[in-house]
Amino acid sequence: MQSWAPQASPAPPEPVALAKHSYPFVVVVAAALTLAATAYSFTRAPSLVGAGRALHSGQAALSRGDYVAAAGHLERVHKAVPSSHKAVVLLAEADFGAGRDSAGLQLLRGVRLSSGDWGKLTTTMPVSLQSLFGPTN
Amino acid sequence: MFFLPGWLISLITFPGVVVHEAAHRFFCDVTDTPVYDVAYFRPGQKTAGYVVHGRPASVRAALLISIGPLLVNTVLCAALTFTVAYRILVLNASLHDPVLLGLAWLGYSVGMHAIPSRQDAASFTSQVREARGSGLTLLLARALSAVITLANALRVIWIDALYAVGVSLALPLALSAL
Repeated sequence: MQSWAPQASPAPPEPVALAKHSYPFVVVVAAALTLAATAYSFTRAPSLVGAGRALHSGQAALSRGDYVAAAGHLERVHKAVPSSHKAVVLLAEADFGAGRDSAGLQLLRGVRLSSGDWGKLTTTMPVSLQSLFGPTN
Repeated sequence: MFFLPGWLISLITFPGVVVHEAAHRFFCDVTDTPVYDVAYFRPGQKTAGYVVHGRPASVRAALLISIGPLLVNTVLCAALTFTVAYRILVLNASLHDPVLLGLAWLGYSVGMHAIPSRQDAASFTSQVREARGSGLTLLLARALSAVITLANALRVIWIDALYAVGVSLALPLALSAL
């Protein structure tokens, strides 16, 4: 004869902890890529900060009217970061001030200038060259 | 105000979600807190990621687990966006290089998920209460919880994005002022 007795309900299983520092492969790859990108960003930092300091020195030299020294500093900025609009405008201003008109004009080829940029440039740009520029829409 | 659903923001900025959850997980492991389940990224879900962990051994461990993403995501955001932010802010340079655009996306995505969630704050506050924390510890826990709750409420005005931008600008501004 069989008899059935009620059984005690089993205790809920203990949750199993994941192994320490066991990250999925995708997360490890993502972390490696993120760290590589961080390292890349930092390898660029010294040259950028150097360019920033040269920009400051260039601006200081421009305000003193030392156009040759300013051009030297600003050329370094332009070489390090050719897409720097500020460096282009200030270097052109320094070039005009130092009498290197063709270098200044060459720099400004294809560059859109704001009224602020124009105001700065016309402090050193010869009047004869100013007529080469006109307003755009 | 420009509204986007949370799941879409998480999808666009998914590297930040992964880093956020990985930071929670990392600090659980470092503080010997058992982890039972992790989702590093769940596209399309209301909660884009989570870490289910046991009770931390101390209030300090709970604090580290809760604010781990704030530390990790903030540092990574500052580092990843430095090149981009310095070029734009200090050198007034344009941003056409795809590598730099990639860095910007990665950095700002990580920065946007730096702020701990309401759940992180609640978890930390309950740990402090359970540990019968008092005095300065409890005060700090409550202050932290209040700041996190406020920051989460301000997500409607894109506080997380503003935080990421602020973090990215801090280092270039400091360096240019020196």
